[in-house]
Order: sequence, then C-alpha cells, then structure tokens
Amino acid sequence: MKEWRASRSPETSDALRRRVLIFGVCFGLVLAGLFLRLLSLQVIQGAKFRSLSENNRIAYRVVQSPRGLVFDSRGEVLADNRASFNIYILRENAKNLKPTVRMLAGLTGQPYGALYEKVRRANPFRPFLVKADISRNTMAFLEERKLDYPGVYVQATPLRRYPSFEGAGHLLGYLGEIDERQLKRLKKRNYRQGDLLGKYGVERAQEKFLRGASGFRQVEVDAYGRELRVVRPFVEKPGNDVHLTIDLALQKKAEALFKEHEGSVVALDPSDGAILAMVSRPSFDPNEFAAGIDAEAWKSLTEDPLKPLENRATRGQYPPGSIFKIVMAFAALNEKVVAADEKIRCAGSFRFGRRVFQDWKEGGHGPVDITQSLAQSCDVYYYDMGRKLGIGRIAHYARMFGLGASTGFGAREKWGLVPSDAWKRRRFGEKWHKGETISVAIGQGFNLVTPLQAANMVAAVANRGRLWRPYIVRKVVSPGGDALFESSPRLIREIPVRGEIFDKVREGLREVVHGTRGTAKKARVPGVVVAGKTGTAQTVRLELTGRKRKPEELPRKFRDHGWFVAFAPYENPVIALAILGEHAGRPGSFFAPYARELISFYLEKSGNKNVLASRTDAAREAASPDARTPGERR
Amino acid sequence: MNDITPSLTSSFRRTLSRLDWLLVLTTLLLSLTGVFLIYSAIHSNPVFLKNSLHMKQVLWASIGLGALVCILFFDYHVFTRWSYFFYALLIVLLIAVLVSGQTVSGSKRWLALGPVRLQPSEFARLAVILALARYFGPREEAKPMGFRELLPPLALALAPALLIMRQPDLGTGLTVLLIAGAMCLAAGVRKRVIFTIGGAAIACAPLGWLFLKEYQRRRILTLLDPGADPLGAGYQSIQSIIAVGSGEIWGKGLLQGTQSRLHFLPEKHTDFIFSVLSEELGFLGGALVLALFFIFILRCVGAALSAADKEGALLAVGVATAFFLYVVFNIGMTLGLMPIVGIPLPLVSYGGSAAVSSFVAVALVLNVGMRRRSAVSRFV
Repeated sequence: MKEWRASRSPETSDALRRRVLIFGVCFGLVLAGLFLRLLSLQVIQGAKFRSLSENNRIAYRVVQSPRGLVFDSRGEVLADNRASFNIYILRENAKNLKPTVRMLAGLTGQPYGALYEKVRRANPFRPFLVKADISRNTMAFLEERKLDYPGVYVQATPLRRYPSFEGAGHLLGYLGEIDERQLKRLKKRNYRQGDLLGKYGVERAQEKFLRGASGFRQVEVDAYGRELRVVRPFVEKPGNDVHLTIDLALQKKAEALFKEHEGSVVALDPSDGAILAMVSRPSFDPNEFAAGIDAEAWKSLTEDPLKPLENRATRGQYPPGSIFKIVMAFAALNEKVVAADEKIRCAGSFRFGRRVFQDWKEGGHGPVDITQSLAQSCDVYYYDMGRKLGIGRIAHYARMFGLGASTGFGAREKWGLVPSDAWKRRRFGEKWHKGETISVAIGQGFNLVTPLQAANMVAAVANRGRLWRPYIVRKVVSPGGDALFESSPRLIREIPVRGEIFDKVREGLREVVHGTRGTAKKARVPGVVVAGKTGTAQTVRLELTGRKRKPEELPRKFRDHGWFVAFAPYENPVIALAILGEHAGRPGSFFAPYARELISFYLEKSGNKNVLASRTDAAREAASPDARTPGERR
Repeated sequence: MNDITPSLTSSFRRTLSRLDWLLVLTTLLLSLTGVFLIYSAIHSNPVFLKNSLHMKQVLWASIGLGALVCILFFDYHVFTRWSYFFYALLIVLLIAVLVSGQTVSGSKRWLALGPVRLQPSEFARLAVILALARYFGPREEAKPMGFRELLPPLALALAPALLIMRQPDLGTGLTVLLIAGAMCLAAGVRKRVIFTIGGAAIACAPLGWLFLKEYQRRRILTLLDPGADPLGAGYQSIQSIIAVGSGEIWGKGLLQGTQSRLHFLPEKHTDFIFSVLSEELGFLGGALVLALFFIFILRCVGAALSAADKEGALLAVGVATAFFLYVVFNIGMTLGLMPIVGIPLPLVSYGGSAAVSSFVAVALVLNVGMRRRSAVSRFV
C-alpha cells in the first residue's frame, strides 16, 4: 500500500474511468460481432460448408518434368527419358493396410515385414513410393484390382535411359537419390526428398541445365484418393539439352576394342581440345542407376577391387614410361644439350655413379640420333639426356606440356605428379638424388600421368605447340531452341619451343610407326601417315620380378602398364589418342593395333578430309528443333 | 500459504486475497485448450509430432505461469519504473533480429539464443505498454493532450513498430501502433486533435496502399472478394471459412477435422488454430473460447476501472487493448473478416515467446487489480 502512494501517478480520475468504460463497451460489441459471424458460418450455413469440405477435396501431386537430353557431336542420343510407371500408396486412403501391403510385397518381390514397417512409418498424407519402374504385367494386374485396394495407385514418371551404351558410365555419369546434405543445400532450388539428381559425370556437372522444372498439380480427389479432375495443371518444363563433343561411333568402337582390358582410352581433337571419346574400363551400366540401383548391385560396384566406378581417364595416375621421352626430346633439343643430328652410342646399359641402368633391349641400339631414339625408344639416349638436363629442367618441360597440373577439364580430376627437388623436400623431407633423375628421364620413378594428360600432351605435339583445355560440352540448348551455353576452346598455353624442334620430334614420332625399326609398326593405317609413341611402365623394379618371368605368372599389381599415344594424319592431325592398358602385362606396342583401328575408323567415318566441317554440320542439324519428334523426349 | 517465506507479510496476504481468480482461470483454460488444439493440428505431421510441439507449448506455458507468480510479488510500479530500461532492451533485440535473425519463410523474426529461439516482436507490445503507462502516469489530468504532447509517446511506439515492420511483420507492427493509439486516447486527447488525426488517417489510406508489398495488397483485395482468386490469394481464406463452417454445431470431433488433416489449412498450429478449433469442436467450442476471451478482456478493463492510479489504469487498458486486437485480428482472419496477417491467437496458438509474453501481460493486470483502490467497487 505504501508503495503506490510513493509513486507520482495521480489517482484515477472519473474522466479516465469514463474513457476506459467506453473502451470496454467497444471491445464487447466487436467481440459480439465475431460471435455472430461464427454463428452464421457454423449454425446457419454449416450444412453448406460441411458438404463443401467433404466433396471438394483438393490434393497436390508432385510433377517432375523430364530431364534434358544428352547428344553426341553428330546428334546421336546418349541419354533420353522413357515412360515408366511407379506404384505409390497413400496410407490415408488405404482401407485394409495389412492385406494391401501384403499384396504389394508379393507383387514387387519385397519382404512383407520390412515394407509394412516402411509404409507405416511414412507420412500418411504423402504418396509413398513402393516400387519404381514396374513392368506392364504388374501394371495390368494393379489396374484390374484398383477398386479392391484403395490408396494404391500407379503414376507415370519419366525415367532416365542411356539407349546406346554398353558402359561409358564414367562419361555420362548416373543419377541417384538426393542425400540429406544436398537437400539442405538445394531446397531453395525446388529439390525435394526422393528426387533424383546427377551424381557423377556429365549428369552431375550439367545438373543445373539438365534438370526439368518440378512443381505441383492440384487435383480434386475423391474419398479414395483417386483423381477426379485437374484443378490446376502443372505445365511441364523439360530440362535443357546438352550437346557433347563425343563421337558416339568412335566411343562405341573404343569401348568394344577395350572390352577385355582394364585401362582407358582418350581421344581428343587436337585443333581445340574437344574430347571425341573417353573410355574407362572396367565400367558400369548407367541404366542400372536410373530407377534407383539396388543395394546388392551397388555393393558389388563399390567393393570390386578393380574399382569400376573410378574414371581412370581423369583419375587414374600411372607412370608414363617411354611416352615421357616426348617431353625429354623437347627438353633436350630446346635446352641444346644435344644437337638434332648428334648420335649417341647405346651399348645396352648406362653407368651412373656406382649404378648401372639397363636399356630395355639387351645389347643396345647402337648409335642413335634423336629421331631414332624416339623410333626405337632407346633408354640409354634418354638416361644421358636426363643426366645432362637435371631434374629441374625436366620438370619444367613436363609442366610446360600440362603434366602435373589440372587440365581444367573437371574439378574432380587428378593432377598426376611431376617430381622435382622441391617436391621431394616437401613430401619426404629429403633432397633429390641425381640417380633418381635417370629413372625419371624414361618416365619411371615418381612420375605419374593420367590418360587425359597424356592425350592432351600428344595433342599439343600434334598441333605444334598449342596446349588446349580439354572440354566435353559443346553447347547447351533450351527446349525452345535457344543456346544457353556455347563452349569456346580455351588455350592453356602456347608452348614456347621453336617450330624446327616440333618438326624434329614429330618426325621421330612418325618413325615410331613408319620407320623400319619403329616400335609401333602395327599402328600403320593404309594411306595415312600416323605418328605415335609406345610406353611400357614398370610398376616394380626388375630385380623384384626377375627379368624373364611372363606377365601371367606375376600378381596383377606387379604387371606392367602399356601406353600408346598417337595422332593422325601426320600433317593435319584431326585426332590425338592416348591408350592405357592398366597392369596389362603387355608392352605399349601391344596397343598399337588398337590405335590403328580407332584412327582408321575415325578417319573413314569422317571422310578423312574436312572432318571438322562435317562434324559441326552434324551438330547444327541436331540442334534444330524439327530434327526431333516430341515423343522422343519421354 | 502460511509459512512459505517470511516475506509474506500480512499486508501482502491481504493484497493476495484480492487476486482476480476468474481472470487466472480463463487464462489457464485458454492455455490448456491451446495445448490440445496444437496436438490436434500437428498430429498428422510426423516432423512436428516428433518434436512434440504440444509438449513444448506446455513447457512454455509453465514458464509463463512461473513468471506470472513471480511478478505478483512485486508492486507493478516496480515494473513501470524500469519500463524505459525494458524498452531500450527491446529496441536492441529488434535491431539484433534485423542484423542476425533467422529467416523463416521470408521474414526475419527469430533470434537464436542457444537452443531457444526468441521472437522479440512478441514482447514489443509489453514494452510499449509499460513505457507509455510510465510516460502518461504522472501527468495531471487538468486538460487533455494536444498535438505537441502526443509527439513523444508516438515516437516511442513508432520506433519498435517500424523495426518490426522491417522484418517484415506488418500485422504485429500495426498492433503496436494501435495499442499506443488506444493508450493515448485513454490518457485523454483533445477532441479536435482526435478528429484531425482521424480525418488525416482516412485521407492518407490510399497513400499507404503504395507502401504495401504486392502480396499484402492481394490479401486486402481478397478480403473484399475471396472468390476472385480461389486458388491463389483467396485460397487460405476460403479453406479456413470452409473449415470453420463445416464444424457446424457439434464439430467433427477432436483429431477428426478433414480440412486440417488434408493440409488445406496452412500454419494451422499457429495462425489458423481457431479454424482447427471450430472445425473439430464446432460452434460449441468456438463460442466457448470466444466467451473466454470476452470474459478475459472485460476483466482486464475491469482492472483498469478499479486501478489505484492512472499508471495502473493505463497499464490494464493497454493489455486489454492488446489482447482485444490480437483476438479480433486472428479470429477475424479465420472467419474471413480480416486480411490474412500473421498474428497468432494469444495464449492458444503455438509459440514460446508469445506464450511467455501473454502470461506476463496477464500478470501485470492481476497486479494492478490486486493493488486497486479499496473503496471503489468492481465493475463488470
């Protein structure tokens, strides 16, 4: 009581109380108004609204527009969509849940207990996907019994299809269900739980272009959840089409040739770095992922010791072996540690300090100049060059040709390794030993190269000094036909080496194929001059395996890698190739015939001359909207 | 009650005996109804159910009840004396929300404090009511206020209101301004000033239209003609009316409402909780809750009438106005009488900050009532 007297506030006056009373009356009147409105809605008009609420049920159904298509450079379809049918159950409408789920379990071959548990735990008001991509028979069966099993319905959805591929999954990639982290990140872009998105390859890299718009269709449904009519349709907006630089025919040919091997084939257009074919073996079938890969198949893919999911073309790192001699030849000539016509005697071995380095050919090659050193792949010549150049200059030239660095092709590629003194100090805390330079000189030692880097290097030799950034997407076209993205070739660098040196090295590479003593005579293509280089990369020292043992007797991991890089035609190259046989236990020359097959196939198909012109024409044709019928998209 | 604490002196016990038990009872009943309705509104949503929002609401109501009891121990003048401090704290919090608040469906309203999300705008009305009661309290009533005297209180209300509208939360910001206006009127304003301001407001209404966002305009247009765009802006309004109307007299039964179960109603555990109530418990339930609010608000007005001093009277009028506005805006919206603005039903809707601030507001009114003038008989 004392406290309020202490305050400075005066006692409530009558005027104040009068005003407060007016407030109270107003409040009461307005509340009475609300009461009347409630009375009117519920008691007077109640029956009308009751029937409205019972009959007029509007539900939302998710609609996913089809994904954009993927084409090769000639307009062949690499990825499209087909109609598929999914079974859903809407628990809210299911009358007898247990028999319904038992029927579905039997129909789709799933264990009843697990399925029931999943359905029971799902949101009762959201359709639960029982099985994707059911067969026509299953669909017919369900359609007949539609009335017996309320709450079960079949909905058509576009499903991804890779029509003409046996393998090449690495290139196109695959789709997978969105995971929690991606969902969090992509919620704003209209992704929902259960959506499929690109998880690998082109599907992943071009996700933002390929994905079709998704949204809701408002439908009126009856008490069984069946659609009575569409209240507000959702206009489908398919994703954009991606046109690749790939030549499907060449890709298929390379896939078929390499079927028996593990390893990789990369073919580039040396004039701008466009990727013509990219094979990684062993591979997987991206179609298996389209409707959601089953756990067993996924397990066998991920647990396979040969790692079929790994793209060897961009992520496989191998010692380059003798294909590194290309870099060495440039370094030696440009640094003038040897003259072009200078001959070095090869007696089959090279002494450095207390160590003796063997040539691959017992007894040696005799006196060889730079051309013959490449043609015969003389090790001793390059041991000597390595000694004269030193590791610093070797590393400098290797990097000049794009080794040991990203080619800029994709974010997830491996960089390979160009060893150097600085690198060794960083990595091992040890200084570089000169003896190690000798091994590096013939592409052994710490040297590591990816097949893509090897192809890009040889492409730069083919086009006399332009190192392009390899690319695979030529353009992206909207469903309406607008070009949303058009790639422009990008030069990584102009290699600062004089033209005569290029001539000299290219001549050596030509002799590899066409010389009488060349190591890859089997790569000759009638009527075309081909240049190439073999490489055989040892994975362990000879002492450990013994020189004479056959590859079949060795464990796989000790077998040699075989390399062959090539370009053709010699004067005006249109294709540059790198072939790698992983632990093939074969020398590089073994793969020369493969290059012959691919080169002759490609040149024949493209008519040898004006290859580039014809390819751009094909691409243009593919881009025009009338080249496709609308039905193809599904 | 005898020996809880030695501070319970006989004078306090006399004060406590004047506690308005009817107001306490209506508060608790509304709060309890809210918990049941929240459960009914969320039971079809597994995520909400897993987070058991209804139990969280019980927790928040309990915290509010604890705050209520604590507040009764102190004379309300203690709170008005600190009112400017509360006000400053609120302004700081509102600025903090704009700077680093959490954005939910387009507006920044929440401030993350460890595991708790605070919604400072829900405390704005409390702070403004306290500050204005403190401002008007000591004024002698000799003559009503003119323009010049109205400027400081107006500025006092405008600052938080504008900050809240920036979030953007037009509804809450507007109620703060309306509460302030009502308190000014209660404190006494010259008739001429009232008419001038009223006339100016009507004249300026078209101008205000220009400042509204597109969706806000559509909501107002929808009110005039809900059928114009039944699947767009009018959708929520129509679905809510159908929900309410289809409840008829007896309702469809708790947890049986099809409108809410089929997700026709948005925000059904917060802004549209009255639709859930009317659908499931019918006219009986809706009218009962409306009656509870009727009693509740009139008891607040009653506390103002019997208050010991001007400060207390204005405090109670402010709280009464606040509850009145919230109830009218919210229920009016669900009955299709008001545009769709995100204003919860006090004590009933889900929301921790709103629950605590409502209980505190009730506590202030109870406090004013407990320390009333003994001579005056109670109205109502």
